[in-house]
Amino acid sequence: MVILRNIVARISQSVGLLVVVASFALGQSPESWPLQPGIYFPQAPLPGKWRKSVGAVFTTTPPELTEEVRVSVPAVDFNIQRGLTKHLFLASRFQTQFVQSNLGLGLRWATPLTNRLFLSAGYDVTGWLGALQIKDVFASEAYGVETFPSISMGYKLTRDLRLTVKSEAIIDLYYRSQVGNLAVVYNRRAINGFAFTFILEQPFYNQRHVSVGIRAAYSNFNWQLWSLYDTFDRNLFYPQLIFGFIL
Amino acid sequence: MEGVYTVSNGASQFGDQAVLKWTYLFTGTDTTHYLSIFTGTDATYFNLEGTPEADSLVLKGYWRKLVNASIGEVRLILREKHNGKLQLFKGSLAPGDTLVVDGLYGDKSAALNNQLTLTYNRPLNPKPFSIMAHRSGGRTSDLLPASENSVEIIKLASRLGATGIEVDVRFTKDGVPVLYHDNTLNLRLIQKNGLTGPLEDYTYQQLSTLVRLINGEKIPTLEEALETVVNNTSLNFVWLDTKYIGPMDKVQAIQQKYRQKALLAGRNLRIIIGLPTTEAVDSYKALANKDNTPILCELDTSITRSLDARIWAPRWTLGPQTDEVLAMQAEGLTVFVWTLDEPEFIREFISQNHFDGILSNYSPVVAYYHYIEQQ
Amino acid sequence: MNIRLQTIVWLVCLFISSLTVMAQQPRVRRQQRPLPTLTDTTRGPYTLVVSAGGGLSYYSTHLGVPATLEQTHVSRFGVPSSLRVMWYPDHRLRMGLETGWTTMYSYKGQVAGDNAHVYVSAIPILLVFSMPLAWLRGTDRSLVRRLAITAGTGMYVNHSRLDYAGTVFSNTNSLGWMAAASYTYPIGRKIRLAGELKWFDAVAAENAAFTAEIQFVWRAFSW
Repeated sequence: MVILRNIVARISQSVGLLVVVASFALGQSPESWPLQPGIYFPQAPLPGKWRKSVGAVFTTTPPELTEEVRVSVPAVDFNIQRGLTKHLFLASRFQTQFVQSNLGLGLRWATPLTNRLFLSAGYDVTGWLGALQIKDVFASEAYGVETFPSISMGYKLTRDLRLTVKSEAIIDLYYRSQVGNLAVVYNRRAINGFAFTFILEQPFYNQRHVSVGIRAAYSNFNWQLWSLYDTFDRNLFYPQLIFGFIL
Repeated sequence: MEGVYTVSNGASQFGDQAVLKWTYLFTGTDTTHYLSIFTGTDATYFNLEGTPEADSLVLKGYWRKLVNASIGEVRLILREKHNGKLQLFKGSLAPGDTLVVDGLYGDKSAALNNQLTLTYNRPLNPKPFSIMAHRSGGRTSDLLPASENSVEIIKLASRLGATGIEVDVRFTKDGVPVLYHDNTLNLRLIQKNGLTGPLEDYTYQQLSTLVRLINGEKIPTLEEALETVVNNTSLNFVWLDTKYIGPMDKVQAIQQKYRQKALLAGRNLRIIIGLPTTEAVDSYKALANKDNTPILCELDTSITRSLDARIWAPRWTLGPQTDEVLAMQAEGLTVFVWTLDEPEFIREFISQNHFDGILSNYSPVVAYYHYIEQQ
Repeated sequence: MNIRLQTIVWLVCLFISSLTVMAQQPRVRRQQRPLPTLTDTTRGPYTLVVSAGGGLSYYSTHLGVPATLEQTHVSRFGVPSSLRVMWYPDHRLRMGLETGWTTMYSYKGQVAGDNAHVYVSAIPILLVFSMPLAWLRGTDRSLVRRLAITAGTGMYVNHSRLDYAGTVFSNTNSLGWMAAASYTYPIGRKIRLAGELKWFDAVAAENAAFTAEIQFVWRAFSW
């Protein structure tokens, strides 16, 4: 019964996806596509041009770490990108919750495959830092370095709506944690997990465009929860809601 | 047979050292002997029972890594190395002989086909040290075979390396003290039954009829838990964590009742009341008579001193606080640290050698690093 | 039942996607609204839209009945109600808040001759995003402009009522999400009637319900 259910579900999902993609493809007559602002869509900015966004990322904490306290933790999210060549661009991202922050810098290479389908490959390095000084509770700080090789596929669903699917590997390079004057360091290179992001970019109101989507990360460590000292050697699920205004 | 052993075959899975320690479970007049093995990787413990087979002692059971879901069966035999030759252990060692425990282990449901060889190296660190298991033994999220704060995990605690346990005390709506950690009934801790909200909204009858912990056990009363500690285990320390707000006299009465029971049974058992908050401190201060009511204070040193507590227990995330720890110990206090699970920090805290005990969800890790420590 | 529900969900997806095809194709015979320019310097009208409705719900995940109960009877059906306030800007994406009340399930049984009854319900408090399938093409008469997909995330207040050895009302908050597909039919200048199929999932409480609702949609004001 379970097998049958899985087969039916798989077939339905596959057919559904095929029809959705095909329908969008068939439904559009060949025409020129208007230039739109975007942050996630895998299309390089013109050389020398900047792209920016500001928004928030809400990360839902896994029950293994926060137990009965299941919350969606917001972080302020800034993105800035600059075109280097027709295909190559720099991408930087800063996320902060004030007591802990994360700065990423990466390089992306993007190319159109058709007039609607785009592809990019990227490599980002991020450094994160957290510090908590709370009387009788914390005298702790930690910082670390992670790297994220990624591939993004972008598809112009309609003239106003663009979908980006990004897959990333999460690799730990360095971790240092200190309580009081005692510190531990892990500097082994280890695959920490992977993540998939689904983002829609479109106009929202007036001339303001937005990025809205979700990121599903399965990882052994999440920098935002460093102060919970995850001891599990297994990937936990960190769903994220992403909302950003493209400036 | 207890001691620190060198791991030869099996080192890639379990690390190059292992601690072997016997524990006991009493059931009426029967005593069951268990051999625990703690290794330095992935919070691993072995739960083995010894059975005489032919002319040898066979140790059978399972191994488990707490940090992930790795588990497998194991079958070991006790041997001795005599004049360089391996032979079955005859019951006593001649000078120059070495104990060897070897056999096979499996992975998940696979057959036992991996070699494991442990060779005696040195005795366990004899320094007194409290290894206290959080939530009566360990966290439900570590996929233990018994639920946290259950009678069953209290019976398992020694095999996980603990010499004492911390239990979480709350009151039902009709005033029965029970063991439960969280603020609400939730699916992290209990099997799905639709009931929501604080445990304190329900009577003991409602809870005992309709609510089961995640592995099927009942929520135990504090008395059932202490009865188990006194009658079934060799644990020597119980830390009653105050999760309730309100009068403490019922818990005090139970603490004193089971202290007397332990004394009558010839047990060296300390049952102390933990004060984690200012509300708990106020409840303690409101007690009419504080005689024979040992307390542990988790707040700062000045509050601890003002209460005349005999144990100070700061959070580990404040760091080693060496000056404060030494000062409190100089005044005759015992100092524990809680709730420390990160293996590298456990190793560092133990190697610094200042605290008198560690409260942890990973008592196998604390046991390993404590027993291998060389004075 | 899980098979049927999954199949229904994916059939709905197929239906929506095939309509999307129609939506994207030029409609030469129909009068078209002028295309909004993506970089237009003057904004279009913003509208505040309130919808309220109700219908039928089916609890569509596993439920737990204590093994101590005998002669148990389980009900998975309920009558949900919804209230949603949305901001419709001058483009496809819409945003708003949703709340309401949904029965999850109930069960009853006997323990040693005494009756026990448990009733579980939830109040969602969700941030929702919604998009009509067609936006740049078609008119209000076009089917696909009336079809919309909605997704939301937020909190569910999970209620339980226990009747056994006394009565206990209690509740626990849980994070969760929602996904829905709707068809909206205009019946007046400011009033619409909508049918919506919706999936509620209060993740931490593991409560999930599939609902079918009729909603009155009131375009309260525009500016």
